[in-house]
Amino acid sequence: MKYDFIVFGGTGQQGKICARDLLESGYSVVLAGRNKEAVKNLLKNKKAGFIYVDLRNTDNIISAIKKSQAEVVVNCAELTYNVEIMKACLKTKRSCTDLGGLQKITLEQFKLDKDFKKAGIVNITGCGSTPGIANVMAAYAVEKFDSVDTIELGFAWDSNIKKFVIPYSIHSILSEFTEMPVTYHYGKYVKENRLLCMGTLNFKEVGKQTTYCIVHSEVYTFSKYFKNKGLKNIHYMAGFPEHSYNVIKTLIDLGFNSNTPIEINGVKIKPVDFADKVLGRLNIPKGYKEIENIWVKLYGKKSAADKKTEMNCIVRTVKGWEEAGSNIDTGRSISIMSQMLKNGLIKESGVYGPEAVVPWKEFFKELGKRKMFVYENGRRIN
Amino acid sequence: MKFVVLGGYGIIGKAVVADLYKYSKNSEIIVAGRDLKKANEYAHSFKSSRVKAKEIDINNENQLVDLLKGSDVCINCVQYYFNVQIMGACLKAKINYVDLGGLFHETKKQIKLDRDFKKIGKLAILGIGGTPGITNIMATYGSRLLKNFKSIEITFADLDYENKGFVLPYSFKTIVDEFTMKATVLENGKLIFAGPGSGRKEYDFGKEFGKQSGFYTLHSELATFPYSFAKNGLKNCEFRVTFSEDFSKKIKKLIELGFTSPNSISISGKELKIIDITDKIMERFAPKPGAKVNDKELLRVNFDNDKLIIDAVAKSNNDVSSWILDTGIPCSIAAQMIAEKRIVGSGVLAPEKAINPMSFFLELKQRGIDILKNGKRLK
Repeated sequence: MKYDFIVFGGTGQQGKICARDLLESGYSVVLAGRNKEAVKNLLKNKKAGFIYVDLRNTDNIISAIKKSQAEVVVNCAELTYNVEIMKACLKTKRSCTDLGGLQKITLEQFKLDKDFKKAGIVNITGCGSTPGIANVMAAYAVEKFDSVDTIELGFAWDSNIKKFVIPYSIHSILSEFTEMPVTYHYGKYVKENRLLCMGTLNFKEVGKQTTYCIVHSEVYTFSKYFKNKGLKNIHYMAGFPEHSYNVIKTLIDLGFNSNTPIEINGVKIKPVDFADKVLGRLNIPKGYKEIENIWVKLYGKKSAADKKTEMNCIVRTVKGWEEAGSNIDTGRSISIMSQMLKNGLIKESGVYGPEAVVPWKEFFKELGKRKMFVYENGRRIN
Repeated sequence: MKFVVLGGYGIIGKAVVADLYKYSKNSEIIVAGRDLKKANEYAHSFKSSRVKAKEIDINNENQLVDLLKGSDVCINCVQYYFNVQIMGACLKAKINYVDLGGLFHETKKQIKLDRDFKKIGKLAILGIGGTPGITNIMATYGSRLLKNFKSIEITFADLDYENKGFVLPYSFKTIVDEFTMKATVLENGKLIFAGPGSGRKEYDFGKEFGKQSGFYTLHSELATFPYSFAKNGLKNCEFRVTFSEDFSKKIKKLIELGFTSPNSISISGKELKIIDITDKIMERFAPKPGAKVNDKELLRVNFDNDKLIIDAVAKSNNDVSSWILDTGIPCSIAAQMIAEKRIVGSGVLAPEKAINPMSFFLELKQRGIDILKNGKRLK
């Protein structure tokens, strides 16, 4: 069978959300991963298929793409596999989307730009909520400025029941909290002291929250795409509710973020992989609901006067998607962008951030259909 | 004289071996455990033919009995889950036995082997570390001074001058048990169960140790005190642990998140218990050899709400923490007293019934552990 999409990391948290969105939009999807059991519900859909893939083996990736005959490759796997999957896309001449590569891997990915251009295919990196929605919102807002001096952005979220539920990839969270945050400061990338840029901000719908600078890919892509507007400063800030932050902090304090394997009964395991497995067993409490605010603040000038714009995307737990919480903004966004790619709404070739190639109007419309609402200075625009 | 120390390269086992080596001059000491490399490493550090390493799988009874045969005392410093099993091997090998406690439930099972030990004319002393251990003997001492009393409160306090942050004072699994298992409390002459973490109480340990908050936890003193001190009129007995708030919070988080579950997960096709993997990861917080150590521990037995307070105060020594020393040393002393026939009798006994307080306190004092009566050091 020829499929429309192949989703790598298809048995993971975001992969499942994305695949479900694609299936519900009427497309055929192959889920590529290791744990078939995790997607048995999705596989009840006749348009869904499963291919066993071990991403540590590049040949495995290439043969899965070939076997699926999918036009578009959707990468929802851990970011450490981004470059390998892109190389497989080059070999099989398929366009692809992914969920971003924080700082280091994003830079590696952009090095493949020429190869992608030569092959006439595209990779859009960072197609989730942030990076993703945030980038498109920034592109939308930037257009209304003559010049932009500073962009601050990030996310903040909370839940009605203060119990720990995995917000997104434990691997990503733990590296975001332990890698040195990088900000763009007067035209230069600067490593920040995490504690120095800690602060308290008030967020629309979410309320007051402590924020922390973390390393994120927008700092790199914004500086690249909005240079012509004179952009000098970019700060990325994560906001976790206290109950979730405390868990992450404890895990890091106790070394569960370590990548150095321990050996037990002849089996080697990385503490971070173990933490991921154990936390994956936690049940979502009954009635648990999340709310997330993806925000971008832009400061600059319009007609010689100071101008400030605040963009927000407010995402709540949606009926029928309770298990995904506010994660729908990541998994469903990459589904929307991947569909745009397949349907010819994005025609460029090369490696891009969403802010460079995703048409905002259509994208916001699709978000709205999925109850993810975009606000410009407090006024809903989708 | 010959001693076999099971788990002899573990946190407490090391302190036991070091004490035996120093104070039982002509003895032979076997450092035994499942990891021969670790056993060798520690045994060789003494550079003496008196200390030898042996590999042992506790679950292999024949092997264990063979190892134990011909020695005077088996000193059990492995995780308390194996106590009954190891005592069984001691019975077959016909040797004496001491351990570090059975966290109440295991202790109860161990006491049932009393007749068997009497039959072979050997002695088993249960829970002879710091607490249980020193606390039990302090209770005997206090009971002889007071004759009649209604209540005993047992607790302890730690003081770390180095402030190393998160440190495991003893086995992670035992700490988890203390945080999750129902505690026992003697109330009006009846043993009742209380929720883990309940019974919060603020203790004032004086100028040096300051105020520390404690909560009920399961402990083996409660398995024997109600009987040992019934004739003195004991009606109420409580044990509380004190941990810093940060320490408690972290342990509770791990428990709440499922990191201490006994269930198995599949790793590379092998089924492993979650608690075992977490235990392994937490090993990094066990005391490290060579690290600078400067700490003190106070163990307290309080009769009739401050009518009589008996404390034991231990100080760290070189690179060994006070709470390791005051657990390992009593175990070594008891084993030596048995081997030297300074304790006579047979059967399974709690320390408060087996050991003479004054001669035991003297041994402690020699090793820098002081006993205080109402704040005054015993001479």
